[in-house]
Amino acid sequence: MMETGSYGSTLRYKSVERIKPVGKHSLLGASGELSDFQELLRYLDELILYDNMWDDGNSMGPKEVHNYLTRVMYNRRNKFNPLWNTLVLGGVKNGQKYLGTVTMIGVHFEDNHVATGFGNHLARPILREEWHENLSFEDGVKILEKCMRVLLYRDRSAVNKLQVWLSIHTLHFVLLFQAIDNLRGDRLYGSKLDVTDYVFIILPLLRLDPTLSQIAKITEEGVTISQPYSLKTFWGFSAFQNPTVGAEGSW
Amino acid sequence: MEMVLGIGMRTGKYSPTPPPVVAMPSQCYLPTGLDPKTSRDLINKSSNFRVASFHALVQPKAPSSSSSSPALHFTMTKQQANWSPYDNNGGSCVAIAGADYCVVAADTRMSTGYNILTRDYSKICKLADKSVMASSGFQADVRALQKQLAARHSIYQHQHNKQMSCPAMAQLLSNTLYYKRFFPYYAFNVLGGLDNEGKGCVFTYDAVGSYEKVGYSAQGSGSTLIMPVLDRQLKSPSPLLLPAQDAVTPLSEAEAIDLVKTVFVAATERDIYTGDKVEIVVLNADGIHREYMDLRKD
Repeated sequence: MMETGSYGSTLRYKSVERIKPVGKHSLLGASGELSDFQELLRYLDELILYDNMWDDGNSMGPKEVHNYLTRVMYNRRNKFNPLWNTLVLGGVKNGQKYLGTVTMIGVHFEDNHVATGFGNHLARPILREEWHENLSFEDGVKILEKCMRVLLYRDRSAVNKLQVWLSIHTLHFVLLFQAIDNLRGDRLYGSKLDVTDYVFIILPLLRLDPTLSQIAKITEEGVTISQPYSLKTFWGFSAFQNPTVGAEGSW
Repeated sequence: MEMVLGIGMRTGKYSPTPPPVVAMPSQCYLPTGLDPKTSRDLINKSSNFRVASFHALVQPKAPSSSSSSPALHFTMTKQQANWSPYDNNGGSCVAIAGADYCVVAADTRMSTGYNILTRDYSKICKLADKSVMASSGFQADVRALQKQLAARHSIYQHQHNKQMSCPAMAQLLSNTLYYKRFFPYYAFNVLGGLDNEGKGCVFTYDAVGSYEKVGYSAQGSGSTLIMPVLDRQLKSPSPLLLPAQDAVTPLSEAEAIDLVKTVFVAATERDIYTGDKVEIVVLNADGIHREYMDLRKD
């Protein structure tokens, strides 16, 4: 739950939630402007509330929420007043898994793995290589950790602290990773708060295995959040010991 | 402002420099009545994106002037918006009309800049029983356009108790695009289908609704690579002939599909935005049939 939000190059806020459950079936993660994300959450609160008020046994699933978010983002873009976020929406409903993304100009699609910001450059290739149907939960976590490690090494503004959000229903699950505090590049018109990160979601198909059904039992409402943890990194390469030995005067 | 005038006055011996042109207060609005020529004008007109900024420039010394004091001029430079409401998600679309069939095809890659966002996204939309549209360009606009047309078709069906014909849908698409003439749908469309006699027809569009009934067309990032091949290989009567002849191809359905596959493979080689898979939709008297073919993924 404890994520940081940066303000330019300062680590401004230490406890910011960047992934939120939406309704009974979905998880929404955002990168970009935090205040805009918070406003989106208020829109979604209202959406889910009205959905519940029908009291007809139906509930908004991830596909529906994704469509709603797409419409909101696109219409704001049409008014030249975008919500400055890239959103990732994942969830499971009636055994059907779903993962989609929406950008600030309304570009949206659904895929087996998505990423925001730097994740598109560094993590998607890894995911393309290693993702397959019938991934187990542990394998899924391993792949995502691999992606996060690459990002940690290669993004100057990355910090080594992450959290896993897990949404389980019956046999399928959606896994979200959230890394803390990665700076975004160019910004326009000075944001009040930058909440940037790589939000990864992968959609493995889970086969019934005892450890997991244990988790499934615990998470009857569908969403589990792990404690924040760090990745193991290795910096002891010999080339790092004396980096300028080959080029005197450089740094 | 006063200080600047003061500088001019204090160097009293020299010929007075002309007063600096301080044009406007810090908030600048476009004069009313000015139609925005481009979306960039729209951006700059919006209150959310600031337009004007001051720059104080120190002019180089004019050769004729004996004054040694620098003349300070304020000029307005319009700050251009860094945010664009558009993006090009790439892709190519093709449609070919035959005597009793129509083939509509598009690749399934969606890109932005030099990245591939997804390899499996459909650009083809069935608007009516006998009308299929393929659109490339800015994906959010394409989807919005498809939604809009689907909604209008639904209303038409309620009002007329029948499906829209392909020429009718063609006109609707043109009008829908022109409706947003001053903030266009960045979508490059080809509409393919069967007319009321069962003959194939293809309509090709630009982003603002200018359209034409043709025998075949290609749009999108690979269109310049594809169109010349179609011109030669389809053996269609020339559009320049008089009296005008219908430009449907004399090729058979199987030959046309084969040509479509060839043409996409060719475009994939040289166009970075085309690839992954091609989705081919065929309309004929038996209905609508869809098939896929893999393309290079690089």
